[in-house]
Amino acid sequence: MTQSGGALEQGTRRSALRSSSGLWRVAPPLAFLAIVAIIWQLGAADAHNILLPTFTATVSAFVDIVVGGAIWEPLLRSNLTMIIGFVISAVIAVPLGLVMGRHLFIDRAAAPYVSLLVVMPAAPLLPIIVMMIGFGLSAGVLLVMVFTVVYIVVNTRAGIRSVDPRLVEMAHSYGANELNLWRYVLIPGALPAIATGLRIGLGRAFAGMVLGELLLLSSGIGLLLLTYRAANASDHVFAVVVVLLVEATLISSGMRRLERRLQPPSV
Amino acid sequence: MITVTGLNKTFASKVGGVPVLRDVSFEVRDNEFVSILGPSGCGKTTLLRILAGLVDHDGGSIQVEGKEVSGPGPDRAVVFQHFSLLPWMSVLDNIGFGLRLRGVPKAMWSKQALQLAQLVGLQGFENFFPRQLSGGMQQRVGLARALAVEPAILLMDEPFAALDEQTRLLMQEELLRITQEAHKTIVFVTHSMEEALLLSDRVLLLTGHPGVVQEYLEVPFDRPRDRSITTSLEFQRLREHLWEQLRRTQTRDAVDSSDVVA
Ligand SMILES: Nc1ncnc2c1ncn2[C@@H]1O[C@H](COP(=O)(O)OP(=O)(O)OP(=O)(O)O)[C@@H](O)[C@H]1O
Ligand SMILES: [Mg+2]
Repeated sequence: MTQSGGALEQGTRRSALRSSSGLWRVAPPLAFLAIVAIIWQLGAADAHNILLPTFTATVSAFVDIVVGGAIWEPLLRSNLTMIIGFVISAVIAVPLGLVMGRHLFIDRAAAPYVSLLVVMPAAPLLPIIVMMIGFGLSAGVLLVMVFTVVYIVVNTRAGIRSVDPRLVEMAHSYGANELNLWRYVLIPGALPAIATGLRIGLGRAFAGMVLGELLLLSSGIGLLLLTYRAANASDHVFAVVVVLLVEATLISSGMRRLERRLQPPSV
Repeated sequence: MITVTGLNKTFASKVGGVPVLRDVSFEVRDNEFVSILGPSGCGKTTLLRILAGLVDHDGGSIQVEGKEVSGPGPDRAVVFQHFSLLPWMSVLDNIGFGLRLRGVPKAMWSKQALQLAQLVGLQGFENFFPRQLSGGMQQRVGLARALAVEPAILLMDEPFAALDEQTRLLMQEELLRITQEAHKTIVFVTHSMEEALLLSDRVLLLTGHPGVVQEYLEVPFDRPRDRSITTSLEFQRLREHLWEQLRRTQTRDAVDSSDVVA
């Protein structure tokens, strides 16, 4: 914030600055959105293509599915899949990342598979999962896990690695046992990285959920999208995508807030 | 009483062993203040870590009160060169850390930590976090944390090296005061000749690669001491003597390594 010195009264000046800076943060993206909306509206109206709804048609479809309620049940179902998959991922990945960060042998044993999962695109695994456990909720959960686990593992491991070995030695010198070490040194030191891993992981879980439902599982939001598309209701398809965008934005800003709260006071 | 006899230490490395300490023998009497003085890389920190039980040694013996050292123990506490405070804990929690690990109940360790914060001049900063403190204040937290566990032996690794001149002088005086009140055996690593002479009863001069004991020098000043001794002739003479010793080995090392290169 640039602040030129002046004899203005401090209180009013500061609040004026704050509200104007809040406006300044929101105004440019809103202006951009308005421009896009206008171009979209004009372009789509001009094109007369049923596959490309106008901006206003999309907005009214959005209102229709949100107020009319068509979106909620599929959205809930999809999110249930995502949340179950994410929670199981975290429960597996955080401890795995922790021990990999601390124990060379376990790291050696697991590292090749972890790095393989990092490079490999998850999509080719979809048919295998379906072949193995069919189309149910558990397939969706497993799919979300495939997308998620590795990112949490990698970040957690990096978090443990980043803990200053001198702090570990200090704790040893005061008689810390392994449990004390985890509790007072390793976990607090790795917490910011774990939070980052969870944030990225949740984003991946969201992507995995949508992709899986669209490509294979035909349930929840994915099924809804396919239904609207089959009915050539392109405005509704767009509206569902907008709902997903809104959710993705909310998730990511919520997780960022959580991540900031987990930062140690030293940072 | 600490007794070190024929201590050897070699670190394993890819190109073979790196000998760091060779045949180091000395003893430290109860309530004695001993400085380990020597050039960078001669193994001072390694020796201190071995005394603390943080690294193994490969030959010789180290006994504290007649018992062989095999790991860290409640009789010894370390003040680290780089403070090693836990960034996510307040000053009070850092000071009480050692007590907490020993299972002292919270009411008790926080009370003791409060008293120690006072002793090292940190009253009012108990709820600050390490990053909010200056280097000198952080080192005081490290000192208080070590004092809190009431060790018979205090092992200090260049505790004042990272401080500015003025803070260092103040901390030295504070250490003189604290050690004159609480009877403790202190092993103090430093590379400052003045600091060693000002604070110690004896100075263990360590030189070379691997480090060997060059001399174990008596410092004959009475206690309680203050900084005025540094201007005495005797102090200047001892300082000159230490410098002579250090210079001799430094130039000898330089000649040695030029031989190797040639
Ligand atoms: N963990 C280790 N592994 C291998 N070599 C080591 C290790 N720790 C120390 N050394 C080597 O041992 C020698 C002595 O190191 P040490 O840290 O004890 O020196 P120092 O006297 O404390 O030096 P300074 O005054 O710079 O702190 C150095 O040559 C260093 O390279
Ligand atoms: Mg050192």
